[in-house]
Amino acid sequence: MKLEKYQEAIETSNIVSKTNIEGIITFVNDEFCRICGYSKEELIGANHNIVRHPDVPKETFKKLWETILAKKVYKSTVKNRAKNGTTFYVNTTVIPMVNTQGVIEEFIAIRYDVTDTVVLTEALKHKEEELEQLNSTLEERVQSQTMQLKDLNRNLERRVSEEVAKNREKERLLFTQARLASMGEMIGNIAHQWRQPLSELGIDLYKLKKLFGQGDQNAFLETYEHGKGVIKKMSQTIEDFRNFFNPNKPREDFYINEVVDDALAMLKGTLGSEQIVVRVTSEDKVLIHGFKSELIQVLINLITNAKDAFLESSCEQKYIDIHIARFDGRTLMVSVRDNAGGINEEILEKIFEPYFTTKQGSLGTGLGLYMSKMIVENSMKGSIEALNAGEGACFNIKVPIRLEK
Amino acid sequence: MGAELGNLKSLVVLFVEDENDIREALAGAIEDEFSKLITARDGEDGLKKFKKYKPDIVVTDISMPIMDGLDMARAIKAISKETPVIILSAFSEKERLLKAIDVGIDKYLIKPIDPDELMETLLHVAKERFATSEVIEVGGGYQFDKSKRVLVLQGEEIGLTKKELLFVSLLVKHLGTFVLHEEIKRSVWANKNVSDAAIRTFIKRVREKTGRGFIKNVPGLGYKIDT
Repeated sequence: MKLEKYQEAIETSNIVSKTNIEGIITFVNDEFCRICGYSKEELIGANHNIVRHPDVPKETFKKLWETILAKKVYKSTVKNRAKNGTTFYVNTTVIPMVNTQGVIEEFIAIRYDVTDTVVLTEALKHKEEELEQLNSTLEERVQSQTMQLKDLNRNLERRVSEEVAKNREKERLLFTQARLASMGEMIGNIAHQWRQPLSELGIDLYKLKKLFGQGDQNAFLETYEHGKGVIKKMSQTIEDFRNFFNPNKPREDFYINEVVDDALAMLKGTLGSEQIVVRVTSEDKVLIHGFKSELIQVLINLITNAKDAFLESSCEQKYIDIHIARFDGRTLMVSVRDNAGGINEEILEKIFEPYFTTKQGSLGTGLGLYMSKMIVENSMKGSIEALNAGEGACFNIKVPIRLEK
Repeated sequence: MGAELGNLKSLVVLFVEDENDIREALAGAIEDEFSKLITARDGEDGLKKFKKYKPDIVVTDISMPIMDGLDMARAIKAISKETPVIILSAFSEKERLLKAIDVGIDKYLIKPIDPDELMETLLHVAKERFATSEVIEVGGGYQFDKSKRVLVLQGEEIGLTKKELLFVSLLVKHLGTFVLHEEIKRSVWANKNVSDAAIRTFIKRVREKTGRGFIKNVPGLGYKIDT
């Protein structure tokens, strides 16, 4: 009774079939008929391979038969084909039924339908494959994009370095130009400085000629000595300029006061003829380090600019004030200030740009302040600023103090 | 030369120069050659002394404080058109020199000062200003008759066109010193547009007629006839 209940329970919840030892179907339940589409009449007496699916390899059946003929239980998910050709999957357990003599009497197969699961799994597998495919092409696409980007980058790098090289060349040209322009100005300054002593020498010679005729020996010797003094003065001028132009001078420690003195010595002739009074005040004597002649160049540029600014101003007395003082513990500041009316606020921020000039005609190259800025920033590791103060322009140069070790 | 310089002995000369050393040194060297040499330190001082001493000739630096040489010369010419003014200028002051044409400056001398050149120029200016004769001895044995406007070499008249004579008389007026290109253009061609090449060809022709050494080129400035 209890056994019958089990049987009923199994038969209603599972797909059940029985075959004889040759594999001929001897029993099927309704569930079996429903899933394969064959009737009981068609199934009973037929070989069980009636539901075999052609996709399933022979080895599978070989293994099944080996297992069950060895009186073992075979478990597997099997792909079958229904009468109408559709595929279904069943989780199958085949149990060999052995009698008391140990002989197989029949096989009972209990199955349950796993078609949905398998189909879903396959669909999932398919999706996964698609995804994988997508993934792999994505990787390819990313790789090709990356290649393009890399290519672009390399190009960009090349173009940037080309532009940088071009810029460097331009800057070098600019510097050569600025150097030539300032040399031209310097030669102008030498000419200016020599004009007066040359006149004095001319006058001395004329005097000597006259005194020779008159026989005044004392006056003759006096004039001769005067002429010698003038020549000495001219030699000194040449020496000042020669030192300045020497390009092979190394970095050195020097006092800013010397820079101011040297710059003024070279501009003496020019400043004198324009009636410009230069007042120098110095609070401290501090060592700095760098190329002295370059800083002299900066001072000359600033003073020359002030001188040119006076040409267009109408002030009564022209002053250039140069003030040297510590800005803080590590920085020294030199201010060059004039009373020539100052710089138009609109152009104040442009004045350090190359080729920017307010001077008329051949006077300005637009390179003086640019070069000054380059020298102060690159060579002296300092800074330069321009502002309007009082009745004129003021340039502040800040440079690091040489710290004693 | 002493006898010629004697001609200056009767003159009062005003010398205006802002450089103290130059002014004093030159005054010391040449003052005994004139009746009187007055010095001034700038244009304003010069104009004041011109009014006070009425000098015969004025020699002035071009760039000076307060009032420059040109402004002073303009003021002097306004008072006395006939008073010769000699300008001393540096080659680098060419821009200023061009303005001097309008002021009617009689002679320019380029700095540094050469006292010999200055004395010769003064002598010529004096001769021209006070000469009774219309015939001027110019260099190389040439004579120039100002009223008849003819150039003569050893009694022979040189055949020059009207324009060429205008050019020579302009140089003779500035005898011993140079005449600027711009002034030649202005005086001989009356400011008509004329190319530099045309001027060079013109001067080349005059030189062919007079001999190369007669008219000298002053590079970058102009031409001159030496004494």
